[in-house]
Amino acid sequence: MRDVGPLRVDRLHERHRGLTQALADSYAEAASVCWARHYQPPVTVSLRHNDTDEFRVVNFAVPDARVRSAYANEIDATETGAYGVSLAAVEEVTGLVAVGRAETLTGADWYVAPNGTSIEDLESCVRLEVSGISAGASADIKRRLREKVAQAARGESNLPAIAAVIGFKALEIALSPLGAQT
Amino acid sequence: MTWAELHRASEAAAIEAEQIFRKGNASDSALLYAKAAELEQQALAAVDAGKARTRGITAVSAVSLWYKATAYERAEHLAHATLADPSIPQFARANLRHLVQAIWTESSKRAANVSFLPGQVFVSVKGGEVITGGAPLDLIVEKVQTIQAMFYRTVELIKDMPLRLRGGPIREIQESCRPWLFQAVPGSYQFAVAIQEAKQLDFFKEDTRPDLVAHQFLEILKATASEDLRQLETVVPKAEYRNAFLKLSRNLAPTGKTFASIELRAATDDDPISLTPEARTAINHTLSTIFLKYTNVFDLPC
Repeated sequence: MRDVGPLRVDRLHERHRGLTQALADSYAEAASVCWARHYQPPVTVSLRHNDTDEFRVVNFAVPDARVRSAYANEIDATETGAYGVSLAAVEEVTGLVAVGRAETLTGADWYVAPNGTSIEDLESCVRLEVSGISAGASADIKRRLREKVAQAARGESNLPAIAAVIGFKALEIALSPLGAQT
Repeated sequence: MTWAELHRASEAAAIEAEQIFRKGNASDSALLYAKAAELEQQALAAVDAGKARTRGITAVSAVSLWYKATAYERAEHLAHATLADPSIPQFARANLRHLVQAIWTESSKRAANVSFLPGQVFVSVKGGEVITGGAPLDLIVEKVQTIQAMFYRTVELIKDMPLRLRGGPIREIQESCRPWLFQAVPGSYQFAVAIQEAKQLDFFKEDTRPDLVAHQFLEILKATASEDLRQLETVVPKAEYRNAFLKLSRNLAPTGKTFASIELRAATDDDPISLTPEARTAINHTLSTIFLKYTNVFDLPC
């Protein structure tokens, strides 16, 4: 593994034009609550993609009691935080940024595209499939990613996508392409 | 207005609705979801016919928004209209079918005039003697009873009660968290299980989330079938409960003689937990391992 600098989860709206500032702030706050359950900043996370494993340093504001209380629901906080971390990681690795989102039964999916692309539809966008794990170990992150890849291989979705699994306690981010890529 | 403008306006309303919902204001959230759904449905009408992917994503989004607005008739109507369109891509069809299933169950629960905890578990029994929409009665009765027993055990675990060594759950549990069976869309043999909401508001301790019963149930089931003892210990910290849950999971899994697999999933999850004869063997192996580790808790009832 090699050290390759920071991962910026804050101020995502300045780089991802699909995000509003309010949403970007809530993603960063939720991620800080999830990491702060286990660690003090800064934290060094492992970012795995395409058989590559890199270290990234993440700095985050220690959440005060008010912020912790706002994200007291662990499941919601993990899901919200994982969106922010996934978008930051995908931006770092692929250069793709959030351009839009669409609702699903489960919540919402983000769609990413190269920065500067004019978005008149979602034909060439890639869906970002996000999973967050609050307290699981490295094996849980690997298993969750394997499940996502296997699900795509069974042909349950023919939509090009990137799966991102975030382990807050494990300090890991795992990315993998799913299905046919554009 | 173009698709992009309408979709962007829908996104903004949906994000606001989600944030309001998380603050606990369900009624205002539903109004905003309805506004987002209206805009998304207009966006769907504005997409060029040749843009299949955008149409599919937008249709799923619009139906999901009507569902979240609890406007089930609008959601169902749009879902069926979209499914009738042969140009809608496969990924959208799969999502729309899941949505229709969830809409039907939510509509039935509303009609039952009983409050249910959020979340439900879809169960699907497949293969062997099971046919589409039909299955041997004794098989289904046994599986339903095992699932009911697992739900009661899950509630007892969440309430931090000592492991029950004999008999059924106490009346308070049976009356407060009664599991209900709902029909689900046929496809193998399927049904849905929802938990009736406790009338007593303080039934669960202040720091527990009653809406997590279904989630916890599935997490436990997944852990019992995982062959990963550490994962099971994390999900079920009490050793005596682990043994009871493993036995229940083993009883749920097929031997392979009558049916091939049983799949369980949350309404909000596309990824089911599948129990097969191989899973049954794996659970038996875990039980043997635990037997060697904790021989004093092996002979406990389900």
